[in-house]
Amino acid sequence: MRSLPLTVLMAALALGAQATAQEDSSAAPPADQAAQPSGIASMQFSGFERGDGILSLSLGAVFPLGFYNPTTAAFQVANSYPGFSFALSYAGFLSDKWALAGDLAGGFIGTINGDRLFVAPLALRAIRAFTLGSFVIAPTAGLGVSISSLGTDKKVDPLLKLGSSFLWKASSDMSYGLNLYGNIIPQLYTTYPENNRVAFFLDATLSVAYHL
Amino acid sequence: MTIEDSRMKSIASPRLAALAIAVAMLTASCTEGPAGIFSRVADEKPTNANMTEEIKYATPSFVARLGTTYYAGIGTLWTKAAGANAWTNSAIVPGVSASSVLAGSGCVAGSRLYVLFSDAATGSGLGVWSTADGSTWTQVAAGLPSGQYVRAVLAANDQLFAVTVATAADLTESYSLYHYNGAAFESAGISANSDIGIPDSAAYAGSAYWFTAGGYLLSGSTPTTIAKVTGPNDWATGSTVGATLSPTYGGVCAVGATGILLSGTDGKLYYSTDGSAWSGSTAAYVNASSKVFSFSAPTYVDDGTSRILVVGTYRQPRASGDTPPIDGYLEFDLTTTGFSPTMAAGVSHGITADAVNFSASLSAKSVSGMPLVDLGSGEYRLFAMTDGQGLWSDSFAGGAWSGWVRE
Repeated sequence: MRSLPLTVLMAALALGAQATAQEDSSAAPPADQAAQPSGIASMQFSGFERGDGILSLSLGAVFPLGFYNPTTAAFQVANSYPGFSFALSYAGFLSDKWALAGDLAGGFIGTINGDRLFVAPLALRAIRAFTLGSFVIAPTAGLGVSISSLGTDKKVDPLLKLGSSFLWKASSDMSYGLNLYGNIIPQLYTTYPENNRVAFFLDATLSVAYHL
Repeated sequence: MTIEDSRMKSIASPRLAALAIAVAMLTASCTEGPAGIFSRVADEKPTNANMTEEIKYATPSFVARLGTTYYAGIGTLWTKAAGANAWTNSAIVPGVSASSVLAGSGCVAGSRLYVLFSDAATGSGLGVWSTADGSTWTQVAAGLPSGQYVRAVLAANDQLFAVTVATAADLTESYSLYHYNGAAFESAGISANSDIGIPDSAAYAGSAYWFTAGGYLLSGSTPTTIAKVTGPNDWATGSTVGATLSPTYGGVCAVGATGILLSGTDGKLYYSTDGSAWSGSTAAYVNASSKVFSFSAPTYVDDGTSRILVVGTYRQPRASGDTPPIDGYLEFDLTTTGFSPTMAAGVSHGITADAVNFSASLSAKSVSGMPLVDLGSGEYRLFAMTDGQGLWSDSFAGGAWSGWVRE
């Protein structure tokens, strides 16, 4: 329930980007798009266009890479175990190369004493798509918030997300992808500043993406 | 204001309100614990390395040490040699299957261990058994009334006490307290009393014996002259069927040679230097959500460096439908000023543990008791008995406490 406002916010931003792109697209369709025939289900994929959207479901693993302690200016090892990761993402294309994406994601990391750290990185990302035949390399960078929960402690922190998706376009309707994202989360405390840490997580997921 | 301005304002206001609500919900959900989240993950040390897997989710009823062996009632009787890691199941009552002998209560008095057994297969009480070496057990039954169920054994000042219960036709329970004089049990002064609750905690301080019994306090200068006395905050609990739930005393412990400290399920502590004038907490202790804790029996530790009071938070309800909050135990530093009605619990549990160790061990667990074992030579071992989360221990061998680990 605590993440509901963020969920709504992220969905609204992503859908808003898509709607804006669609409005622009309908107002001034590109010449190459106007020339394309209908019946897109049977078409070969020829590249993204303004107004396109990709809805993807990703499942995989999250790897804790370590923590930076600004108090001691030292990097600490992860001291925890990889866990399950998931994400539901939507990317709306603003042009044939640029897209804006929103993520609803989460991951479970095991502590050395068997507890579960839950981290939900919710990001708004910019994507640059490079099309190479049936493949697309889509490096991305974004900002957002991360919701962390361990035991009875919960915290919301800023998030920097960097990485890339590698998509294979199976058809004009669907792609399969490998996603490698790094999540950098500075967790800052006011009452206990000695607990300040910057966490580094790597998300490695496989996704199925539907072209909308 | 134009019509367009009004239209813009009517559109913007709900969005701003929604954004404000979202921000408020996010910020309100953040609570800063003393261990942090990422910092806890980074700084945790293993607490499960030497645990006994079979008792990981157990609910211990007692822990005691006799000689160089620890004994624990964890369903059945479990034992562990000092210095060893693994607890093993022990069978001791002749003629009864080891797996069905339940050890419900136990203590060390003098040089012997006394354990109250029952047969899970038949539901019958097997009485009080005693051992001096952990291998030869004898039943101690002389003087106990027939037809009454022995509910608990307690020890104070190396004296053994047994609590029996008699159930009337209307299911009202009455409790009797017996003292073991070395040859047989004799009345300790409490006989068939249905006003008090079950005596469940004992201490010796100020040349007197003290017991908490539900909402009442018992005391006497000798083991056979125990009587109900006026406590700092008595509650008429009663033992009749359908009696209204109310707060009770959580337990009693001695503070030094003469101090008596009581905990209450009302979330308060009560202290007296002589047993007549009491000083109680000004306000009940509460969790981060301002919900009042329910305390189990307190334990006082003087490790030579610090004087510490620890008291478990557990799920003992105070009223119908009450679910008290739980958060391990509270730690009080009595080193400098002793008991104070307004003393604050240590946020980081920094004497017996630290913030990270506490968060990774007993935080958010129900602790029903914290028995202390004096190992001699200034060394101590403090146990925490949880409800369904196993047995934990913390050691002191000079310097600092080791931190909590699973048994």
